[in-house]
Amino acid sequence: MSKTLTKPPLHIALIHPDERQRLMLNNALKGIGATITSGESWSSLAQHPLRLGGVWVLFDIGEETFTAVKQLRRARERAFWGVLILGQGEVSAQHQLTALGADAYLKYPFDFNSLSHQILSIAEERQPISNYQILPQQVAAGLDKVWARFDKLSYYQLLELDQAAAPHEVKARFHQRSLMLHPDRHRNIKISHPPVYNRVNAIYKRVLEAYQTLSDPLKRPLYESMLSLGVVEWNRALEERRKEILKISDDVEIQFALANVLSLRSRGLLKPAYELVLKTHQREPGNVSIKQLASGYEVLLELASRDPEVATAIEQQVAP
Amino acid sequence: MSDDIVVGIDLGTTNSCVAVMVDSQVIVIPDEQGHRIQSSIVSFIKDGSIIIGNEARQELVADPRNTVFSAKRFIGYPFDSKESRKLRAQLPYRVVRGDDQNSMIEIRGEAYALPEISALVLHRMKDLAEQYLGVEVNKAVVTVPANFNDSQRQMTKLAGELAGLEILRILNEPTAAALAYGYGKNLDAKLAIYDLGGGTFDMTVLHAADNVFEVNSTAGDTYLGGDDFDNRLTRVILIYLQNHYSFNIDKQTHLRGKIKHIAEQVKKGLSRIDKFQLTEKIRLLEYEEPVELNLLMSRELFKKQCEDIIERSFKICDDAFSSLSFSPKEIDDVILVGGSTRVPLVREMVEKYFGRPPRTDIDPDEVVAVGAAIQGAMLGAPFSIEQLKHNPLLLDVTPVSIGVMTIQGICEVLIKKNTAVPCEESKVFTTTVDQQTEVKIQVFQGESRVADDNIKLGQLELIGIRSAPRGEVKIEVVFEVDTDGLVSVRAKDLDTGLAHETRVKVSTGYSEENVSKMKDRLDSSGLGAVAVSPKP
Repeated sequence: MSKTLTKPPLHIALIHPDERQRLMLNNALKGIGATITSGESWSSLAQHPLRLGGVWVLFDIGEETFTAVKQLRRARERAFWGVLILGQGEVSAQHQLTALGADAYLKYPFDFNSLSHQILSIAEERQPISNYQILPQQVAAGLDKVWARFDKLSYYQLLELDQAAAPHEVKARFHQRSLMLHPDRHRNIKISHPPVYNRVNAIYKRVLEAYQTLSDPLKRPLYESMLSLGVVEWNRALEERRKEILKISDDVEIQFALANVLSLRSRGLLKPAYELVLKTHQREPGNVSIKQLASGYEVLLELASRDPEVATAIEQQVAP
Repeated sequence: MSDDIVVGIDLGTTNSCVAVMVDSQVIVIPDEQGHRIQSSIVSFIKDGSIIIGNEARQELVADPRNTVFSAKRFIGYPFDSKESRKLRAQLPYRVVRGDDQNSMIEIRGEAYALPEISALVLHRMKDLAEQYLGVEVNKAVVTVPANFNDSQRQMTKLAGELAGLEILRILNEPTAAALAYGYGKNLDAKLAIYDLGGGTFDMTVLHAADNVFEVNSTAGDTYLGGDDFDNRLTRVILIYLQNHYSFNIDKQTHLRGKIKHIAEQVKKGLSRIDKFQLTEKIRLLEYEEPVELNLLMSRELFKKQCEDIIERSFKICDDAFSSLSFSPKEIDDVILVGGSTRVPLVREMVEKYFGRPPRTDIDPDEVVAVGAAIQGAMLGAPFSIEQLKHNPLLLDVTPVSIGVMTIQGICEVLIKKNTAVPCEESKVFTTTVDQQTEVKIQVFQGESRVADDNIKLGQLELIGIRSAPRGEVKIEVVFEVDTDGLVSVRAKDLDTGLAHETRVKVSTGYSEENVSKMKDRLDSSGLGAVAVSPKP
């Protein structure tokens, strides 16, 4: 490939309580061609506009370091930030910090070569994709938007679909995303830009997962019922509920209907949920489980009709 | 310039074919005689030379012991497996046990690994392409039956490397066929690919829409194909001979090859005409003059002999449709792949099964190579927004389930068959003994609940685990299937978040030492990976 690829700019935020140490690190890092901002404490730099991605180099001074890592993690653009900790901490502290989201922990004494090497590799991993200027700008910008909120986006948000989207719309959107994101489309950057390739790949895997769930008539309503519950570990929960439903009936239509009951219920639509249970029961009158479910809803509705406060409570209650 | 050329190679059990895409046109590359299909036959001549392809066909009869055909059927099956044993019984060439449990082919006292044989065929295809195009070719997409497992794919990839080719993709044959059929047609259709080759059968159902070819489900049998028709007809001919003459079959080295050849001609003849009188002279050791073979061959006889073989393919079709929300009758187009689909009885029965006639406007012998060439051009295309928007995309699935062995030898499935690739699934493993520093995990591929009934992919070893009371260390192991259908594994210590060292003996089943031996041998044969060194 003849096209030259620009290296993204590198920003470093250096935090060390001791000024001499700061100066020394500052000088040592000059050679790697970065803009460096330094400060004595996390709070003195907390408002620093490191918007275009970069690496925070923090000295491990206990509690404050933990706060800093946590806050960086929570920050909206955290995906573009890398965090490197310098310290002489215990093994347990290292583990806790990496578990919180720090990219690496460099132990004293370290040599400056390995420090700059670490910083560069973290920067490479964490840069926004648009900074690499290797993907079409519109694609890269979209990916950065997704990546910044990667763990928070629902499947609907990820595919930019309305909850009411019809199956063919889900499919068409998935196809459209696949044409842009499938690893086959980016195989030529696999070697030249592994961080970009890996991120596109991670996003594509999530898109695929979203499609597989939203195109499944049983999983989709179950996912919806979890969505409003705010279940984080919903994958496992979904599997459990799916199994429960499969136990109730072998009839796939009934299975879909029951999943929809859960979806309605989770949105506080008690009456429609009850009506759907009744309709389902007519399909298989001898089914005891569905009958029990119906009487359960009857009791709930009865309670709700007697006391408006109870009704609100039931609507807000999360468990089915 | 030649860097951009990616050829598509259909590496078949019986026949192989190579194609290339030039200026959005696919060309199926002919040999010196104009033949677009090459026999997947390798013959080792006494003087040390090697004949590959159509010219090696005559050696099947002339020198059956040193002529290898249908080698692909053995690929991925250890010497002691029942599949390998069954196959060996029917072959005129010698198969021996290699030092890594693999089946090897022994020619004049020297044992060749299966990827070496495939490499020779691939090398021939590469040569044809280079002669035709006048440039060096070193990139290819190679196709495999959809239901090939990880080790069979790895071996095919190794064969490519031995032949001096960078394999951009191991592509499933039916998916390639669908791409060839649908390319540039702007389809929105459900397609069924009925792929009956020489040795394998695959049924793949896919949906083509918005330029995306999305595989919904696939099922197959690696031991069902046109060779089975030949074997049935061979039996008919042998029974005739045994009824009319008295001879010892085991003493006649050339007889099986000769009869198999006749059987094949009969099959092909019956694809053209309803019936004919077969008259052949056959040499038997016990007789001075050649004896006469005189048999009436008809489609009726063929049906009686082979109907059940074709019936078996529809069981596999049922299997492919079992996980789908639509039935075979709702398919928009049925596409036939593989030379065996030229048999009229096959076409008839396929039409009955799907309730519609299959497409006959595609060449079943070339369609896979054409699809591979298109995919090759797509993968080799320079990067642009136009490419992203307009080039077709294949979304394939894992053909076989992947699991690990748990207590009592049960196989716990981690990645179900027909899962879209790329995909990954994780499982948390822990220590069962205090201060345990190693955990071994057996990885299997197959559909049986009993692990040992499946194909063992390999053993994953987690080593250097930090010393702790049992159950305390939790290691997350991630199993991944990539777009080639190849499996990889990585592990992470859940407490520390650190990547864990693993040793996986998955992959080809050949030691590095043996692989380099294969390379050396190919190089010294005057063929081999010589093309790696640049030509003038």
